[in-house]
Amino acid sequence: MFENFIKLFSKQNLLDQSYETTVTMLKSDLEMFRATMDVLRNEETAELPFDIYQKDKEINRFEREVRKNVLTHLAVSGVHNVAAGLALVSIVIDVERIGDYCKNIAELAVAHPEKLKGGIYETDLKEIETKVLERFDKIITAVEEPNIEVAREIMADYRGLTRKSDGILTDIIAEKDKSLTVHDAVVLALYFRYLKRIASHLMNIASSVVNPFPRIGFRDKSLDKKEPSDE
Amino acid sequence: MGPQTKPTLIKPGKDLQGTDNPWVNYLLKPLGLLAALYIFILSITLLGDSFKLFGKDFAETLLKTTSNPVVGLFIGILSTSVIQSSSTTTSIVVGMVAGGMISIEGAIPIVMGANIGTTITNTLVSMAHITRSAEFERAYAGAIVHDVFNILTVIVIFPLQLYTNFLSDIALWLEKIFENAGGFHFISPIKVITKPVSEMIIGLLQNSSWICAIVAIILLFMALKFIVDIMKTLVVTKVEGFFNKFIFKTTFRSLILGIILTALVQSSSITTSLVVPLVGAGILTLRQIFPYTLGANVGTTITAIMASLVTQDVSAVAVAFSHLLFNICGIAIFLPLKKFPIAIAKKLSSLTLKSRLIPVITLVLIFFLIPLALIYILR
Repeated sequence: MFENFIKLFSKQNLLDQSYETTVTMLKSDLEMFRATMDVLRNEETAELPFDIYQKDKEINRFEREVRKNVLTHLAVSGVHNVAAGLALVSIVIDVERIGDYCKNIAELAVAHPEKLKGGIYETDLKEIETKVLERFDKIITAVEEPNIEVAREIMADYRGLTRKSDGILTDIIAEKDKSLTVHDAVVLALYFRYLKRIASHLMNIASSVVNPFPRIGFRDKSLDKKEPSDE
Repeated sequence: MGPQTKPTLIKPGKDLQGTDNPWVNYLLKPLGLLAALYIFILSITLLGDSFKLFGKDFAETLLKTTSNPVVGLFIGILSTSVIQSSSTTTSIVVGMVAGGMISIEGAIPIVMGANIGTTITNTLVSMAHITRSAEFERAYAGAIVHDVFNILTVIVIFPLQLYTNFLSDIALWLEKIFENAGGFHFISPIKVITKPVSEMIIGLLQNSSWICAIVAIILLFMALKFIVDIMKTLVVTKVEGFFNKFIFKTTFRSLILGIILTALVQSSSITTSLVVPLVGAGILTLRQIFPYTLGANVGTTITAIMASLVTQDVSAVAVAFSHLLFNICGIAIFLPLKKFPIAIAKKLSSLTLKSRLIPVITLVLIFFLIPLALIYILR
């Protein structure tokens, strides 16, 4: 009880707390992603160092907490920080979805306990995995500071990654790699899809750091001069 | 970077354009608050002095009008509904009592009416949710539970006061204790700095009772508006963490939060309106906010008590204390019986699902049409 009172008197307002909770959620996502990727690709078992369902539940609880705190902040303290509050509510949806995809990867590892090999797509797969991991680190920096330039880097690199992922998926369906078993092909296709979805949600989060509220989830307009819009 | 390209996610605490500016928070706001408090005290002194200028005939007419307690009750409801501030109504009443315009017995029903009238603000706040049925049902219940409590308290206390005069008797007894403890000596220096200014204003306005009273009321409005606005930014934003399940978990904590927050902000309309959207969103329940709204009723009496102490008039202090006593009595009766006001509020809010016109019609009837009609018939 005493601890609760101390928390109430802390200098942070509810929006500050929601901001920190969002960063904590992103760090949890990164931990889940690293662990699930590792068991799927490098381990012969599906055993994770933590209970992923519990972790996912915790992220869901954080999501509800952020929504509740942002709403309370706006109701009590007025609309001064309304755009930042709405952005946080939008971001936590993406963060929660990433958690769900990590859970899906863990389920793939259960269905495919042996190490997953990419066949002829192995190099591309490794490249996409590395890029997603890099984006995770960058997005934590971009949100925590917040750092517009780092967020912009994530957004600038998004199209190449999704195009590559979609192209490989089409190739798997077209059975370009005859050495892949059906079992491996299904798991690989799903894994590529999940990686693409995670990258998309990371891009959405980055867009909230770069763009004004109506453009959250859309491309950075300054990039339109370099590439045609994908909207 | 133009407004269209401004990023959305600005880290809280890094934006110094708003309330985070330390110069504004630690220097300008406290200075503004002191100035507003001075104007508040001055307005009460000027109000009391102005009413003394009205003359015997006007005072007798007003005393006669307010001698009917039912009329007094509905004057309280109507005037507070119009100005949406029970603190302003009760402060004016206190000034009138100090000026000899109305008696303690005539003032108490007006103060009771002010308690009901002030709930119009949170009812109006709940209307913002009217387009979403389930949310509106909850928000409306969160707002009218305060109205229901105040109306029930008046139904019980008003006849008791009418037949026994117990509120003014106890209030006068409390006033005596306060006086014997040297309370007025503590307040008298404040009068020293306001009385000459009040006399100067009356002199400038050539002893015109009406103009002096209007100027006093305008000053009172301005001062209270400033005090409430400054205190809201100084206090409410700092305690937003209190609006959670931990504080609202027990009746006692919720009640105390209502008392302290309202006493600091000096507006029950503000503090009770804060929780309406939270009830609408389902973050807080009706049962959780009920003690808080009762606490707000107690906290709001601080303004009239301050005003009465400025007047240094025994009757004015007694009226202010009777406002406090009335609310304490209401809490003593309906806090243990909270299921009744809560059930009534829920029942009334469930009617909003049938027609959204019902809350609008109820609001117009309770706060305007019924008081107007009864004042006209009974005056």
